[in-house]
Amino acid sequence: MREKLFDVIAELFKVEVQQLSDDTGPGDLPAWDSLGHVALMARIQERFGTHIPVEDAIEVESIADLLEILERLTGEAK
Amino acid sequence: MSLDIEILYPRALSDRSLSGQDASSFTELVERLQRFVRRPNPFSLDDRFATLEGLSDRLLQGEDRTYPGLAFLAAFLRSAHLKHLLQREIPNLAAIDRFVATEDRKSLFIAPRGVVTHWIAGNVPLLGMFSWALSALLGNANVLRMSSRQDPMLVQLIDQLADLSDCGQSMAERTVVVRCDRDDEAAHRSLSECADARVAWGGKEAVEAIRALPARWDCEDIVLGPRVSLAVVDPALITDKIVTRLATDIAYFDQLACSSPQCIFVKSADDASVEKFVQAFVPAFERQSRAIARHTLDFAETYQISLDRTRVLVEGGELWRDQQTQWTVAVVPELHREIVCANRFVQIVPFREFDEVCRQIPQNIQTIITLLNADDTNSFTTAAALCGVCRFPRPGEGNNFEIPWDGIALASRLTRWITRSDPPTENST
Repeated sequence: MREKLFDVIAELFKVEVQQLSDDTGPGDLPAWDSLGHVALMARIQERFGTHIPVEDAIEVESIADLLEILERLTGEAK
Repeated sequence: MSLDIEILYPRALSDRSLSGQDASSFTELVERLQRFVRRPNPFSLDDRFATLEGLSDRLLQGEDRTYPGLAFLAAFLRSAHLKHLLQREIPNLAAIDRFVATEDRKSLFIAPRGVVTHWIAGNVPLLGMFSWALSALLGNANVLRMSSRQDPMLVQLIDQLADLSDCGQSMAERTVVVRCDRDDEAAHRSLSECADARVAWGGKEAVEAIRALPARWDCEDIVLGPRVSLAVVDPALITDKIVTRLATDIAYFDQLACSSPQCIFVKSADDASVEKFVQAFVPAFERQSRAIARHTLDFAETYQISLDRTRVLVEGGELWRDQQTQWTVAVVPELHREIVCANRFVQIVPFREFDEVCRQIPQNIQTIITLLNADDTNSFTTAAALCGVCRFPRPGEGNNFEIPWDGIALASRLTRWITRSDPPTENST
């Protein structure tokens, strides 16, 4: 799941996977602004088949947070 | 009676102002909308969900990121989010398309209410798109009235919708965008008399004027008026990120939206706890005020901010501010109602007991953003809900349009609920 999420983020925000870490979050990449954040939630739903509710999406500070939310919502391990 | 209404959408009519024309010209346009809603909708609710999600995709792919609040609209239009919101009010969404059995021999059909006229607020025009989207999703035809000074950005969104798909085209065909002067009573009367539902966004004067317009006796009124919002915070729970989210809630829409907190009540076990909050909040608010685009202040707004700053200092409050008039944080002993608290001017008021907050909740309250522990959240929100509060989001969620909004179950009010007793089946006795 972790690898797939990194790929999704790198592809959406047009960066290399190597530029990302668990600590990377909104504001750390030029395209990861408020609209970019909504776009990421949409892309995650498309690729993982999981809708992240607004209440969770707002609390995402980092990729690590996203992984935790995805793990909770899908029941899959990271 | 002659009319002075400028039609911005449909585009085919946009070069044809109704200026000086007989009111029947507008009536013809409305009758076209009424014919749409009286016929079965050729597109299902799922089609319309998909179309609005397509519009969201267009917003997310767009290059123009300067219009404040587009991210909120894009998030609102996602299918999963809209379904989730509708299900708060409508247990079986299939009933929006057709009669569905709810009991042994009883069925329910949730039909569009008809023609919905939306008066868009001058200060935050994007908000009108939320009520339009919900109304269009439910199958209504819509008339959007913009003020004569408003940017026709909404028309561009309808253009994008029409361009998406056949369903988008159909939803756009059921939408008319008009512009008319605030004081043109004849124009507003026509917009009102054609409505099966009136959605009034705006300040007190605007919504009262709309409600005073003649309307059919069965017209549904949804008044999204001049509400105000607050925040209640326990400094023991703050982190840099949470404070940034709270600052963002306040800075967005230049604090002119009804959901923008005007005052933060800070739980203060001692002076140090308020100090701790202020030290964290001021730099976050300054940062977000720089980061989020804002409108240019006019002379009256600038004067008001200067006046309010002086008022705080004269009355012994503490002030943090920039050198211009871009942002202001005032620490005052209690909520100062003379201070306008718009354009990024926020009051911080210390409190010890929740009763003190409840006593200061204004009658036109909408939102209280809460950052409290679970026990405090439960006890405070239970008491404050009875003081008129409509929603208690957490920091960062303040400006997320949701339903119910302003305490109103919008989907129910924008539909007609039709029951049917079904004939006995062969197995019935």
